[in-house]
Amino acid sequence: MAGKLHLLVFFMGSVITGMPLIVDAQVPDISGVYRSGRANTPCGRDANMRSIPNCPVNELGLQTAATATAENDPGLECIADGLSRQFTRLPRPMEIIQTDDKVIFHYEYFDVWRVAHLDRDTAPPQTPHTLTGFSVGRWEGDTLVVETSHLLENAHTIPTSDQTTTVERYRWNADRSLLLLDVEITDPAYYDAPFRFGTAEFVPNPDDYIAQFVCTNQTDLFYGDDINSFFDDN
Amino acid sequence: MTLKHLLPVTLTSLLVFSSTEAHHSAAAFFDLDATISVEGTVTAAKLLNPHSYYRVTTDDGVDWAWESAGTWTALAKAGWSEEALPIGTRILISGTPAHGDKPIARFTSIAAYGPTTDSNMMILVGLDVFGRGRPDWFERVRQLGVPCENGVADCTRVSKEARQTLQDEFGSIGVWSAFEPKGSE
Repeated sequence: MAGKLHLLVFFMGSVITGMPLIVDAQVPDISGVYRSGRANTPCGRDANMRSIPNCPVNELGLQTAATATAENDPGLECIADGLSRQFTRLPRPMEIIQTDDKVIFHYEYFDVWRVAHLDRDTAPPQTPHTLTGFSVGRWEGDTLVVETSHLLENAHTIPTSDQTTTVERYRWNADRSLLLLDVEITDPAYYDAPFRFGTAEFVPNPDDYIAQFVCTNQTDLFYGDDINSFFDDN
Repeated sequence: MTLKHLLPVTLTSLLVFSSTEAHHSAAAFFDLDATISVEGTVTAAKLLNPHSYYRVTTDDGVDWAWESAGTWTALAKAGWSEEALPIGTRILISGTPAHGDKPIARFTSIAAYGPTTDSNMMILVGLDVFGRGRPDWFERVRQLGVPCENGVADCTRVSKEARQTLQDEFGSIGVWSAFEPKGSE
């Protein structure tokens, strides 16, 4: 009875003050380990990223994309993907760790950790630009919205400048069998308009876990004098 | 016991691990429209992230580097180990060649006769590489085979008779080409 009275008082106070009424403070539980299901690519690009049809990419973006070669692919040197490229891979498996003020994403591929800060609206001053940038998050109903800024420039797969911001939206499908992800990228330097990825799917995989990912530089194999130098040296 | 003695009871297994991810842009490194098969002997194995490699030496002395599509971490979780394809194994390996002249390729399937973990076993791998799906014979192999015992997830063993059925149905494609290791008969 007391609880109902408090709710009534809160409701009346909310009406009087115009403050939003939070009827249900519960947020969906999206924690757990996932494998990737369908991974849609942006702008109508094919699965192998051979072209950028229908993307609002500008000339500067195309010029940047042209600088990306097989030889300077950072992955050869065990450098993780930039965020825009990572979206095209949907690295698996992925673990989501959920707390009241943070949602943490841990990708096995290259052992990448990302934190969406739910208790911040913006990045702190002097935040450095990094491969995965700085992310703030919020719940909009049953959807987790993650906004990321302070990214490094990326030339590979999806060219994006250091002015890029991304918005990720995570939500369960109707029967909670799939975690759905929609991504929008805004980059005023390389694109004439924001563009979106198709809805990607993550499949809950509770029996899996995130293993340590030890990486070995494989540049020698592709660009050394002889493939045997790779086999002999590693 | 020699390979020749083992062949009458030759078994086939199918090792499966799905992966489309790669540390590098697949199209930049590999000719996605081409397929190549090489017969030879496994002479080195580097089980690494982001990719693992087998060196396969042909009878005329050419060394090939064959790349796994998935990460080593993923393969290990699927039960793969150094024993899955030991040094000295005679194999026929098929996949997508790298651009240029270097003898590098990414494998989609492997046929192997002992010595493997089960030395009288033939191993076949049917991978979903580059997001193009598994080989069309993949499900048929599972229908005809039984789970193998080497601890590798989704591994299937198929009899020599079943292999003949597969060849009849699918022809000489990839690892179903008429591969009989030297000295086997």
